[in-house]
Amino acid sequence: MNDATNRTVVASVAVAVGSAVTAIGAIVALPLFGASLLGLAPLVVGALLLIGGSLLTPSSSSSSSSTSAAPSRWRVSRLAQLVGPVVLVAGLWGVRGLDVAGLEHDVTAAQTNTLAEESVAIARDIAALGTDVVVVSFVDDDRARAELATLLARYRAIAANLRFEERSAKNAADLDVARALGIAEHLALGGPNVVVVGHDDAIPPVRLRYVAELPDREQLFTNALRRATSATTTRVYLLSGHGEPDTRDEGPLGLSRLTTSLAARGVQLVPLPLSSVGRVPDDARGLVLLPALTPIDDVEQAIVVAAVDRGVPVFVAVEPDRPSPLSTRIAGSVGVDVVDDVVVDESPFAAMLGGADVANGQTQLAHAVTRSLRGALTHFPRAAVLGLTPIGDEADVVVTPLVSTGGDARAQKTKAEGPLPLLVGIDRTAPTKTRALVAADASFLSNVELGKGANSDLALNAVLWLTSTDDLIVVRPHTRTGALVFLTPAARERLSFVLLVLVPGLLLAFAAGRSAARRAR
Amino acid sequence: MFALLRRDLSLLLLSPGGIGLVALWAFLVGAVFMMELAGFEQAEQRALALGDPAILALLDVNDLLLASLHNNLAVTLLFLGPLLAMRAWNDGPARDWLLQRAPSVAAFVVARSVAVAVVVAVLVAVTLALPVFLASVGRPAVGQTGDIVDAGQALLAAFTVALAGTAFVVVAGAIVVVIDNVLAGALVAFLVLMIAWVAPGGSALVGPDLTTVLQLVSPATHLEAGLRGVVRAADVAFFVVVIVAAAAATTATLAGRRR
Repeated sequence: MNDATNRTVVASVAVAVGSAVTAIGAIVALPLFGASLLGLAPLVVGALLLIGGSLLTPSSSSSSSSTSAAPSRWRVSRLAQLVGPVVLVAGLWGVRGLDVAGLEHDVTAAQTNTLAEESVAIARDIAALGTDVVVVSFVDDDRARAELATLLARYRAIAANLRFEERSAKNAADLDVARALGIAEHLALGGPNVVVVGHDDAIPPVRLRYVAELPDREQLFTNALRRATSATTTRVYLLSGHGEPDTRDEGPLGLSRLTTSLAARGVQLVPLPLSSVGRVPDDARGLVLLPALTPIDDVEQAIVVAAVDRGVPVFVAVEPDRPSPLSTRIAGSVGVDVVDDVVVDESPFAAMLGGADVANGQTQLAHAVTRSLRGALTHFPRAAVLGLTPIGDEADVVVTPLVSTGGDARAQKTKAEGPLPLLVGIDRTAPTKTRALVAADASFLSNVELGKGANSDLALNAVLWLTSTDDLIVVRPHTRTGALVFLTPAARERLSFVLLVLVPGLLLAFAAGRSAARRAR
Repeated sequence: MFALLRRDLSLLLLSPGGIGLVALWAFLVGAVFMMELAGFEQAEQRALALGDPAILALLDVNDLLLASLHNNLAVTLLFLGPLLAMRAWNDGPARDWLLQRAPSVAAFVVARSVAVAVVVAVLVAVTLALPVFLASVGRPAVGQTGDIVDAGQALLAAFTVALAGTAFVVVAGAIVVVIDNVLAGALVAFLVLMIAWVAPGGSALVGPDLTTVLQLVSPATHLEAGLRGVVRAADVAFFVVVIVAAAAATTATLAGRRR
């Protein structure tokens, strides 16, 4: 056999093997393994074999040309072939430049791909900062990642200093970043997977959860960006100086965990020794009254009542064993009676969860405080019995039992049957606009109880709601009309027939007719 | 040049093989549309069962049905492009005869590229009947008003798919010419296009820098904005660059062989 014959044999074998490997890759490996090494390798190997084999195969269009001319022809051809790749590389360089420049135009009638005015305002504020604001994403779902990138690109078109870092919880190095941002433990549990880090170290990062097709994603991000870049700090004061739990106490009864968690959400829990300060500071966005060990004098009581009357939001938590006239008075002023009684639950379920004197709370699913808890149980050791008394005009005061016991619980002395309220939220619009919370137990806020059930989330949400930091900028994204398409089964059948049988069939018949006519000629 | 264009158009659209390809395209478009419609109707039933106006407002035929349909049409062209290139460049010895009569090799390649662009444009333009059909049978969800089909988005999506399809056929043509073997060339072209399409999915295997490159060279990345109604200069430029580069490679290869 001469060289030409050998080359032909090698080429034929390469093309045949390449075709087989490619077919296996496309039919088996790619569907099974997706765009992974195992999925793509057969395709790449097959392509290389096909290219190699094809290059060795004698040209089909010039098979009649002389063999001696071939080397010269190939040299020229291969040099000439560099023109295309050079144009491609130079062109892609230009495409990259245009990509960075972000030149684009939304042609939709409703401008659905354009940020709402409220979001544009926030993006402009970020641009004015001059320093980087970083969105770190640990979203692994491809669809959600694409949506997130598209959404953030709209903000970045206005604020170039908004950086977007895509990371993966599957990557060890990225997990270290997640730990540093405080969401590593949440990632595996379906918690927050995106963190917005602002320009100012004093402002805590904002964490949020992003999933695909989130309807209010623009509102979510606009508010997250606002919170991460807004320097305003919310202060909530804890009445102190009478043996109340301490915000720095890391012991079981202390409040250090709650204080730290609130600080991460931009809320400072600050002790307020009223006897020395003499007033509730003007920047108070909330006042917390916890059971005291020593009595609170009349002057301090008057200061607290005056503050509540002028609209300072108040969070009253009572303990049946430590009755406080001030707490009872404040709770009464917002329509909640503190009864001298204890909640007990002697059902086997309660015994399993902590005993008869631990009230297990079921949450109101629709309220802002409890919505994110999704019905998770909360635990209130030795809870007092609360009664609800209508006050004022119903239109001005909305009283909502946010957490209640189950039907098996009852009041120990009065025998009142459950469900009994354990945490009550009051939203008042007149005479002053304010909010209040009354809890049947104060210890659910302590370090030892905060980790049980959904107590931590409940406590955080409650304080954020009290201080109105749950308020969102309402973003009205540009949207389109939703549509309904109704086809009767018969209409669907007719449509299928036209699209799948009639049109292709007529075309094939036409092709066959032309072919037959040509042959006849 | 116009004679070449007319000849190629006649070959691609009116020959039995060309009409067979159009029939295959029509069948695939119909099948994809029926699947997308069934998916939309399922989502519609779920939303109606919930009865929440906020969820009904999310039933957007433009994003849920038409954008997905156009994306699938682009994938279909990924397969059909090499077939069309095979058909266009399967002229054997007649090519030399045509090249000798053409004003230049570049004119020959431009005429053929324009011919395939016209064919792809015709194929995609026919699918615009589907948004028109949806606009006639659909109606706004409960409590809403306005047109349900966004004409601007539908037209831009069709234009984007046609541009991408033309790029696929011209690239496939370049590979067929470079390899100089129609069948093997079409197979390699299909592989190259397929790998370029799925390349961004392999980002887990490579670093972030290479991921950026993979996204830059993948047609899938450059289709996304057009399908949801955004004209991006970078995306249009990408397809134009690919078409020009492929045509340049074809021209250079043919010119090299002519010497």
